[in-house]
Amino acid sequence: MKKLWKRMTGLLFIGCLFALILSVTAGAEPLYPKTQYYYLNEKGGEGQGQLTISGLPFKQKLAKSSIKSSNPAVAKVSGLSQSLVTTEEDQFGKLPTSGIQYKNGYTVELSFTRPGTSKISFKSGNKTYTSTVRVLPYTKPLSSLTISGIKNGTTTNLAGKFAKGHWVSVKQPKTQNNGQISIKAASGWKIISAYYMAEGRNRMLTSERGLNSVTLFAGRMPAGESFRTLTMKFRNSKNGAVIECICQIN
Amino acid sequence: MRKIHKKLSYLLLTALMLCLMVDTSAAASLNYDRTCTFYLEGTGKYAKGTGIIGAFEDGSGTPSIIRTSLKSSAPSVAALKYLRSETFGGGGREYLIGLTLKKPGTTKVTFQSGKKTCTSTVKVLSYKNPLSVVKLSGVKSGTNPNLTGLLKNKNYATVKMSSTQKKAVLTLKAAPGWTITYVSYENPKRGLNYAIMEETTSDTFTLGYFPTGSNAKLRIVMRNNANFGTIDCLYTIK
Repeated sequence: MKKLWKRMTGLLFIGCLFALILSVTAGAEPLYPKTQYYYLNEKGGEGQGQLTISGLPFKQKLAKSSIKSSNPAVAKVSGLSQSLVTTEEDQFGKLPTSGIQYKNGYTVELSFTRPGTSKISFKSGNKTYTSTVRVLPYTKPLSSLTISGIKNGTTTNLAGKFAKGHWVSVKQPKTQNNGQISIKAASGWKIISAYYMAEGRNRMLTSERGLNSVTLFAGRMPAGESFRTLTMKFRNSKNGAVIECICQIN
Repeated sequence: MRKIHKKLSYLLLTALMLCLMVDTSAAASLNYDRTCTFYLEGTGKYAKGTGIIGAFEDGSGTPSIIRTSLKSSAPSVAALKYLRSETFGGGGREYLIGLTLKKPGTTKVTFQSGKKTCTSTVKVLSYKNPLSVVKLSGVKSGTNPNLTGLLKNKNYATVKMSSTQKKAVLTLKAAPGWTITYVSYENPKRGLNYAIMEETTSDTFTLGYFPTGSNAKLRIVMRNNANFGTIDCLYTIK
């Protein structure tokens, strides 16, 4: 009876060990969005997006040939890049606390040609994973944009310029000493960043939570100064998709 | 004669290949900060600080900086705190040698990279208030609207905003010999981070809507024009 008991506990122990190994292996599942929404850059135009895969085991590699789109007429795989960072730290004057941490991930570059749905599958180890990509037509994510001294015809609201696409160019006829940039998100959208880049006078605003409206105080804005850009990112409150709008100021 | 010629050309080819190999291994070189100037974060009991020596090497083979080879010639000035290395998948490795700053003086931090001994000269300087004017709408130090006096002994201070500002304005003026390089404020109540990247000696920045009780963090990074040492000035605005 004792022998049987010993054998039983031995078997139980081995079983537990196996379960533990299996759970550890299962923990090394890649992290990626199961469904992700994207918007095209222009009405009737194309678009680009990225699918981020992270949490891969240290030596795991993804081959571009293993990444497939079920509907290339909607989304095509245009590139793949790995981001592998190993961090090691040694603390002096303490017990050896050296630890190695690594982050292994990939960015899948996608190009979109029309609205629709496609399933992007990739192979990691022996398993195949699928992410559903939903491509939506371009929509204007802002209701108002004003920049000191700049007009769109007779109105100061430049948002109308973004009706057809995400990129516009404007001209500033007169120097503004205390230039202001005011942005209002359209209904159902939030501003997550606004970046005004000028020669040595950059202003950057970010908000993880998202804001309905922001004002950037740009300071001196000389007329005719080129290479100035205002980059605004808007996040859709329903589907989480992001549209980046760019305004080039000349 | 032909045989000798053949042998000689083989030898020449081998020598050339060896030279090329040596040259290739030398290309995986280490670039690091030869001199670093750090300021202490305060005077008296606040006279302490941290500093980082940066190094970068090409390639992704075995790390060339060995922890045991790192030494500070004057640990009473700056002691070694940590060695952090980050290897990037695309090739290249970044090292950060963290230091605990203790008192003004000079120390030489040496480390072995392969067979080479590298030396970084670290100068630790006493704290100086790098700002002559700091004014923020709705905030006073006693009755004085200039908040720079709060940074006399240390690089941080806590202040209170008396009432919500619809259009808060920040006025900064650097002390002689200093440049304002970066201004940022993080306002958790409004859920935003705002950064101004502009090199200037004095300016007025409009920060916009600023509610009371924000617990906002205002950070002003100042750089010394002579030695390029920096001081981070921090205000917590309640």
